[in-house]
Amino acid sequence: MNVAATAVAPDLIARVSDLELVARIIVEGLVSGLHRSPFHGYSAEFSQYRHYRPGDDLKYIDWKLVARTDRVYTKQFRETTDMAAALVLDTSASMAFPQAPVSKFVYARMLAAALGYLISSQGDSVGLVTDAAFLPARSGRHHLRRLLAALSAASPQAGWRPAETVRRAAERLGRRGLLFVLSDFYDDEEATLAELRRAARMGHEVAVLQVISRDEIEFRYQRDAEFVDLETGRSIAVDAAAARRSYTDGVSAFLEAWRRRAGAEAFQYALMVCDVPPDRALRSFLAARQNRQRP
Amino acid sequence: MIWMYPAAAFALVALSGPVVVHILARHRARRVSFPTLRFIEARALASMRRRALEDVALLFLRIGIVLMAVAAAAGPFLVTAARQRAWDARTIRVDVADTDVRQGLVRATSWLAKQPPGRREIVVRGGLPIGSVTDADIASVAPNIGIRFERTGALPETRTLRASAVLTSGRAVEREMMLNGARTSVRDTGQQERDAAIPIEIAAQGGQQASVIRLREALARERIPAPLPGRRARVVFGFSGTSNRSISSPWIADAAARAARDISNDGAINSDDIEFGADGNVLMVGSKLGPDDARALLLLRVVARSLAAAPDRPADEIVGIPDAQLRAWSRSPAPAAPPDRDMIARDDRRWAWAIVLVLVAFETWVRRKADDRVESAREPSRAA
Repeated sequence: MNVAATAVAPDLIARVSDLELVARIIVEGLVSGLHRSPFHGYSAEFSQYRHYRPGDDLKYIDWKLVARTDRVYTKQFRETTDMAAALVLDTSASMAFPQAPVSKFVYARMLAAALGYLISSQGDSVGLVTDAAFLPARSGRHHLRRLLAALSAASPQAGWRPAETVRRAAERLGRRGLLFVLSDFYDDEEATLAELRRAARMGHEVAVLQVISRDEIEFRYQRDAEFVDLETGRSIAVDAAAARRSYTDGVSAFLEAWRRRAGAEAFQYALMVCDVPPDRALRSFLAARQNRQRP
Repeated sequence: MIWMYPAAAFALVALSGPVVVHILARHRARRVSFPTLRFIEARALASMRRRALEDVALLFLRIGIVLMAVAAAAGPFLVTAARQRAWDARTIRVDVADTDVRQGLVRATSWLAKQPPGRREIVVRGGLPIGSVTDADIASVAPNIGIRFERTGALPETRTLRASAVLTSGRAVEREMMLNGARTSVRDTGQQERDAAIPIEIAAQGGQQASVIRLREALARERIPAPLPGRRARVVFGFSGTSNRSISSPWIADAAARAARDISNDGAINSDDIEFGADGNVLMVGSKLGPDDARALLLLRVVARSLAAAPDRPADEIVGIPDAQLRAWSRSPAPAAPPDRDMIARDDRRWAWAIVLVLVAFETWVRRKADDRVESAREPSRAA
């Protein structure tokens, strides 16, 4: 199957108002390209069987059971069945950029919804933490709907406290879990990094998904413009063509610094650009995750 | 102020229009909401910021530059006090020594109009006999041109005038009079195209038509001065009394007085035998003489002379124009007027362009000062 052909443009998906449907579209798109489930580890302790789902690793299929029952079952192991994940979503005002076609917040929300759907559909627990909302990690369809509803209700606004939100997510996650942080990481970098390190020390696996738009990377403005900071309201008028070089150097250094920091701390890092189809972006992220986990 | 090329002002003002629109349009640069300004350096400040209309001093400075450039392109010529003094210190004088002073004044006025700025004066030299200069000649000279008269040489010895025409034998004959010292001579010069009929009606009370006809023919053979247009007379011979019609017309009164004076001076005819009156616009003369009287033709000559223009002999004499008249006509030259554009060899635009350059340099300095102010204001915020 041509994986690329299944990718759906983010602006098209964003027009779908039902976030659960959005999540399902994305997950169907990414799972079809994965050889096995991305969130199941290599625990040797068998726990139970469940029906095979497309994407499950073939080495966990019980072929003897297939021969006996003509049905395909996947073995599940203890640790994977107890996996809990927390989705930390940046709701700062800077995430509201750009206004069209898809803002970073809408894109991050689609990613969060898809991750939550994927994790929940595999029977694992997933929770949501934003500046204004907290859902503990739970499994089940009902909880998934609550999570998706909370995601739909969230919106970008001023006053995002990233360090506190990450700390709360890590502490409430309890035992070893998976911490997904979806943010542009413009705010309180050092404090946020410190909390992520702390989460890693607590035994959590940290995944940093840095969400950014193409305009922020390339600064595709030509003429004079007055740029207004979405978070502080401060403005600066510049000749955009003259400012482009220094801007792109600065933002490239910023992104590279986060990538290096994440690498140095053994976090999983992915740069999520808003114009990339979300299923393709997540597939790359999850494939990289699988490569990391391969012994 | 004189402008050599005033149309340049319209051209540059028209050019200024798009510049103004451009400045105003650039000021309304779009606002872009952006997630963070941390990577945008303040060094690349928008040009609209440099030309912000809130910097009033720069705005007026630039307006001044444009206006001065417009003035320079229009070619200004300043009429300064120093220039005016220099012009007034110079007098451009032309002598008119023509025998035909009238033509001389016309040529002098035309020549003076082409001269550079300065006071202008015409000096009329010559004998200045009466008739050589008139009020109309002086009025034709522009009031700013001074006029002075200087008598030089002698009055001309001879003078030729046009004399009044005479009617004779059904013809109107032109004549010319020559004044030569104390001698006056008249000669016929040609025939006039005019009605040569003598406007005197001859009548006799009690018939005597044949005598009237003979008298009319005798009068026609005479050389009588041509009457002025519109003047007519009626002479009635054998008249016993007039109808007592009063004379209200001035010319009839004048003609009657002249005729009465001539009759009295001549003495051949008794004044009591003649009565004058008017019938409308006709001079009425009643005479007790009969048409056969030998003095009848004399009476007709007197009446005919009274219908002609009275000669003004003093004006014909070769005498100089009185000094009082010359003083009345004389006048000083007026202060010099600024020159016409085509008389200006070099205008003052070079000074205007120099001012433009100075203003541009000053504007550059002010603008850089303003940029430095903005830059230093941004340093603390960038450090934050």
